[in-house]
Amino acid sequence: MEALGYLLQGLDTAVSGWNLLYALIGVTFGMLVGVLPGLGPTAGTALLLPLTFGMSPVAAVIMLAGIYYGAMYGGTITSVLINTPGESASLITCLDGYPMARQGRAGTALGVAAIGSFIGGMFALGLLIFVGPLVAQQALKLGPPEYFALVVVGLSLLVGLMGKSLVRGLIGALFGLTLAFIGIDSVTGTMRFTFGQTDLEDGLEFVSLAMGLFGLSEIFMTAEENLHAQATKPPKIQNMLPRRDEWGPALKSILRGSALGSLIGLVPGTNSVIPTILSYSIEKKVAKDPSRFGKGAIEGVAGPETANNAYAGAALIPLFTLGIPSSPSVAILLGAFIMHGLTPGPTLMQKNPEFVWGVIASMFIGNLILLVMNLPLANVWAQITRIPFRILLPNILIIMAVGSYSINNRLFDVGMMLAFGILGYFMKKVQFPLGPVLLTYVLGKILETSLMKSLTIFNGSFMGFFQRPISATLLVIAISIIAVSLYFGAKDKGIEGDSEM
Amino acid sequence: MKLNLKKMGCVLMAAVLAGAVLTGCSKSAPADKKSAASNYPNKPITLIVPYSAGGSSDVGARLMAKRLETELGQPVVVENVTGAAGWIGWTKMMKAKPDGYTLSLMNMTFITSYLNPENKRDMNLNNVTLLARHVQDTTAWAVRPDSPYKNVKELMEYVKANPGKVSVATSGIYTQHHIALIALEKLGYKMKAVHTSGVSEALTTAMGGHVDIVSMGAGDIRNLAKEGTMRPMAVLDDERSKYLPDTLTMKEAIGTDVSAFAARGFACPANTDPAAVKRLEAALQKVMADPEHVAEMERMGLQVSYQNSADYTAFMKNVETNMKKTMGW
Amino acid sequence: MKNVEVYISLFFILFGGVIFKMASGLQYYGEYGPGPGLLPVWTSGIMIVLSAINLVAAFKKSNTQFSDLLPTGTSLANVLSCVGSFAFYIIAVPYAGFVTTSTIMLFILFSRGYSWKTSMMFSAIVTGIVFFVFSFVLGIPLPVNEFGW
Repeated sequence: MEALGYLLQGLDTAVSGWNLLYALIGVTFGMLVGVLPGLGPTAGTALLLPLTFGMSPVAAVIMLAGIYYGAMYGGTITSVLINTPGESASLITCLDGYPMARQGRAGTALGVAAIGSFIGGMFALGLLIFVGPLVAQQALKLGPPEYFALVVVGLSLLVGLMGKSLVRGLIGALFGLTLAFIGIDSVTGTMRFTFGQTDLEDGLEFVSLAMGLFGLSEIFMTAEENLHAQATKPPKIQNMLPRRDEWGPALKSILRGSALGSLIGLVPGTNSVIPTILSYSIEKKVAKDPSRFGKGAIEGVAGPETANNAYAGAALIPLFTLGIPSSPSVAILLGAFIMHGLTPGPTLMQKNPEFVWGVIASMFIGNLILLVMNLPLANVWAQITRIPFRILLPNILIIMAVGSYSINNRLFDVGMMLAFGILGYFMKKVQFPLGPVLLTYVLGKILETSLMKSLTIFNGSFMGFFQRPISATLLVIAISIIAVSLYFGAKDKGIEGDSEM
Repeated sequence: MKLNLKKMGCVLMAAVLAGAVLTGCSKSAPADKKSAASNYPNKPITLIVPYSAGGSSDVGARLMAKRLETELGQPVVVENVTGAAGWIGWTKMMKAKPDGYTLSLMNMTFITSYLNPENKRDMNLNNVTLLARHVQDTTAWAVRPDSPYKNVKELMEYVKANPGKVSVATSGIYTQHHIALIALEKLGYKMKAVHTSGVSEALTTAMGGHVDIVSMGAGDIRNLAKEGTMRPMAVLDDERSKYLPDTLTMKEAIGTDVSAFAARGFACPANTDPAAVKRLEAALQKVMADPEHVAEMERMGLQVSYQNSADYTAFMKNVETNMKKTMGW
Repeated sequence: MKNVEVYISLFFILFGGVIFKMASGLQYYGEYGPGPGLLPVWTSGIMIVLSAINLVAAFKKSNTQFSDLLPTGTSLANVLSCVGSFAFYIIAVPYAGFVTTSTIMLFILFSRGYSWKTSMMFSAIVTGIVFFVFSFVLGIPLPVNEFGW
């Protein structure tokens, strides 16, 4: 295989001289910004970009790419430990990761996430090496209509995540959707629901919404329970590896997550939330006992975590093969390419093979570093749950305050976080599901813009969606999912949904 | 891991240590008005970039900040204040003390933002002092290599005969790409604007064949043409672009000049201390005359196009007049 | 009326109502498809209906009482100190700068669990570390006062 030969050559570049060190710096720094709530891969890569001015192109891209996938992993840590998603990709991880941590299994959750991330990342890289150029060209044919259909599938699957009451779940979902419409309308430029506030023109900041509803509210709850308690009661931190009987299901979830994440990563313009929602829903559907989900099911962490890392890896395929950045952080990588005199595009692989394969090889190494670093670290991180809460609480609060400010450098976002923290606190008290609020918020923004783009392309005809095979198939799937879940939902729970309290 | 964190720290520390020391020193200097003017700058300067970090506007500003530091002998700290298509960052600049220690990156969309009655802005060009223009990039159109339109003349004839059939991907509503389409529509060339979230999405949509044309900077299109991924179609200017010398201009195609371009520069609050303004103007001019800076900007696809304060102000006033006319605001 | 569920439902009805009112003033259908008003009108409209159903259900079967919901005594003080110190931070930081505000905020929080001396020490140390890491190691601007701290 020609590719393998190149890869070996690339490995040579990647381990030579300073490159290995830069990969190490990259992933370490990436994990650090991932762990700090509010700072994500985009901010991380942007922060270090100026430092790479004087470096060689290979070294620069190796380091920046390291930050990118290191941060994807770091975001998991806060989701599991303090129920605070640092970025949208690790939102779903809260659902089962945090319950696992409360059972004293934080180490296991982080361990399985590390293994899953590694396998997912490897899978995506394999794809990049062997079929990348071919697939990327085909994936371009998927445009706004397919994307719209994919979002609709994602939304329809949410019905399955709504917790005990369908009515409350739907209210939460609609609340999230409605919040997503705040701000300037991308098609007509109309200001919507901004109440004259300039700060609201771009809509609510996702990170402050997520940190408030999930994280801050959880902190208020814990503060109320008992400040003097040793945070979690469990006698000791268990093994970081899954139990014997969990290996099978977890590995299967990881494989499904890899495939799913890589596939969606190829579609330009998607975001990392969609593969995680799909993965979680699929895991819940295929599990023997779906009721474990939301209470610390290991598949609920393994699947989505793998999917988001496979997504992150696959999102690099369009960059390397076509020169298209598929997400803001990948766009910064593109900037680094250009700044160092490389033009990403179909000829990049031919013109600069030593560069491309060096970077690819370094990603193998970087992923390996992450795995080696994180398996033992998982237990170290897990110790955080044993620190007395009266020490932990002030620290978490100040870091959240600083983190939410640093997203846009404005206090408005910090205030929003507090407001949603209080709202989340009350919603949690009456067991209102919070997951749907955030997930529909993320999807709602894309739902409307991709719908409008598609309709403009179709000259306003809705039939256009059904004339394209992929979007038609996806929409039919979505409609069946909704019909089935509404039918069973109504039957099982009663539409008034008050029977379970 | 610890070791590397330390190393990491060292690298970063080195970059900011100078800043720390200087911050410390400056505090001892009393805020005496006269001496403040004569020994400006004597403390770090903040450069507000109203966009998120990492984009091409941000990188351009950071490259400038790095060289300004050497020129002014004080740290120039880039602060990304995002939101409302830049307006939040600009508001912060306009409300800052007019002492020359707060600058911002300026863009043409500043004008679009306050002209648009929907936005209800209460500030405008009178609230800023324009220091210098930094970058100008002509807008151009590109199509897929297999597009049926051979050249822009054919294309525009087709558009005239089939209003609303041909679609153009823009990087957002009320961008120069969109405003050019509005101007064309007034001339009888109606096209469909598909607004995406940014340049890369616009390009992807066009490359996938979901829209017919993508409107972007001429510098970017040059790179795409080199790779053979897209074919340049038209330059939206009255003269040909130095990046795309073989591509016809819109004026050559339809006989009327429909220009679109992005132009960025630097600004500080209105009524800023004249001594500080002078110093900044001189420093900016000196950096932009440096061939090394021009070359590093060129690599990013940014064309340095210097104008001094007076010319840049006249330029922006002209943009304002034209935009009012086109948009009817 | 002490049924919390009722108030939650009312909150969503009110929120939906405000959005519905504003959305119905926006363009409903545009040249190629839904205008800026269409989707919000529907999401908020359905939200009002569902919240109303939830409200009726809440009346029929009262679930959570306010007395179960709001903590008392120390627990209440703990929650209030979290919310209060955070709100204080947001209000005071533009004027007093990060170092002062953060120290005070942390002092309020630490003093819930430690003596005032220990709290003083902890809050100063944590503020110092955060300030150092963000300002110097990461180079990320913090909300500071005129003097840069």
